Amino acid sequence: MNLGFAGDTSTATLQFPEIAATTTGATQDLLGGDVLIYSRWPLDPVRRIVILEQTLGDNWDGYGSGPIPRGTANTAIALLNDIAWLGFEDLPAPSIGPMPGGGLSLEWSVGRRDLNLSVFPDRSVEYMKAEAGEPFDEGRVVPGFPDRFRELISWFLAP
Amino acid sequence: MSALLPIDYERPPVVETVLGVQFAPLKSLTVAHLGLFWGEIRREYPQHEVQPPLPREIEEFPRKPGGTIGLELTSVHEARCWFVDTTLTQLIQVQRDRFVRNWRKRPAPDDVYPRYASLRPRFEEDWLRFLKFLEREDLGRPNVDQCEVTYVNLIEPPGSDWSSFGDLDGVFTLFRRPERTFLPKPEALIFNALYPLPDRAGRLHVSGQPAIRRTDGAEVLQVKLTARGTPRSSQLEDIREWFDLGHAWVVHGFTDLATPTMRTAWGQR
Repeated sequence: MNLGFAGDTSTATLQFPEIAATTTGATQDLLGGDVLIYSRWPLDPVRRIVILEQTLGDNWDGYGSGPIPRGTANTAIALLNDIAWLGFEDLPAPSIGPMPGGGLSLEWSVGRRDLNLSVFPDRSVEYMKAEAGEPFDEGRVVPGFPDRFRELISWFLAP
Repeated sequence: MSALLPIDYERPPVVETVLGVQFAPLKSLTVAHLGLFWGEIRREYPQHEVQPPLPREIEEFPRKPGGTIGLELTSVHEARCWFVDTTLTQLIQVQRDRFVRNWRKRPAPDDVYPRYASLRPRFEEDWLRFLKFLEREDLGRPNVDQCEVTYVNLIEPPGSDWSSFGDLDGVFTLFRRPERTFLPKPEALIFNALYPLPDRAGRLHVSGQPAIRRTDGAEVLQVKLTARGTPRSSQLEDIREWFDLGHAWVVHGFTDLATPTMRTAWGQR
């Protein structure tokens, strides 16, 4: 959905290439794309994502990057909701930043550990773990499958 | 329902409306036909998108117990097409068993709710155009089994923001502060309510949830009212009659649920 206004539905929708899984009761799409919030934890980062999506124009970084696509923003918001549902009470809200090429970065830093999730315009998501500033593990993660996120956050919060 | 007095608001918080019908799937209607239909309306609806189809919904009495999540496997050939007008406020959605028309609020000058009295005729005009197309292409005549009226409202908090997402007692009559003081304010209030329409004509679904408004990142409460049910027949006058009933229930339901303070703020007349 990339008409600028036509956001992914406010109700949860997972889309795979040949399969659509929708929550029953979602009988019509809402065009506004307003983001439903289930708890206070993701409130500030979601707001930051929405504002970045709405305000970054063409060439915002001086290197020709375009605006943040609605799909990228929605994927990042879905990630935040996934993580919120995991219920890690000690997990702070991530810092949110734009990436060249229309991606979004979600970053946590505590002590010597950094955890970064990068959301790309094709809606793929990659993680990177770093310790004392040195990256040592990276790979792909899939929104909607929280076990991998649980592992990553457990590592990040471990004593 | 003709005894219901009309209610109107000068400044309603509505940001999106939906008028739609669901019908028995037209087996011969393919994505290619939807493209042909787009050709007929393209001048007014120049943008399009292809979406996964919406699941079928039927209001049944008694209500069937069911899970909250349904997994619907669909072929790639099952699709729903969006056709959007130049103002980005009007949308037609068509799939094998649905015809839906949305209006949504946009920044000025497209920020004024056009009123049900003008939205329903626009639905009828487009629906009749679709019926003519089906007839001409020999695709069958829809047997309408559900009508739906949805209003989505975004309600801004009385103060600068919701000090907690539990501050709803000043907005809706459903919520009263407890007389005892054991519980703190709720961290969040998310609600769903179902109300039966008379004579098993359908149901009114009301849901409310905190949300971030897409256009400016503001904290708001999204309140959605959907009236859905079965018309007497697939004839236009029966669909119209059901829409009128559904719309009356949406407006009167909303008015019942809102506190007098909020109704005054929205300019009830």
